[in-house]
Amino acid sequence: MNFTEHTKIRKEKFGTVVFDTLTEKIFITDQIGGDILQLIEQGKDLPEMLNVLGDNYDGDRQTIKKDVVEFTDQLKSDNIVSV
Amino acid sequence: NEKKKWQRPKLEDVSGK
Repeated sequence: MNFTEHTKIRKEKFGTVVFDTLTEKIFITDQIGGDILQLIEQGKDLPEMLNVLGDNYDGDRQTIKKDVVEFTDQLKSDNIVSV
Repeated sequence: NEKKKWQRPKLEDVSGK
């Protein structure tokens, strides 16, 4: 999973801003969403992301997996990332 | 001898705003 070439991200105090230079759409995400975007930027795959997030956050692993998959699906549908 | 609480990540389109 990688960012599409027309996607720019910028980390802020509240989370992360995502800018699609092609459609000029702007998205904001919270702290956890920002962490996921950072892991994608580092080239991590889903199992690696789940390990890191499971270590850093207190939550049920299945819930984390479900939420991360839903979040990355949304990123794909908004053309922020491509597989 | 050990984490922030997990919350569902949100992605919001704020283009219009």
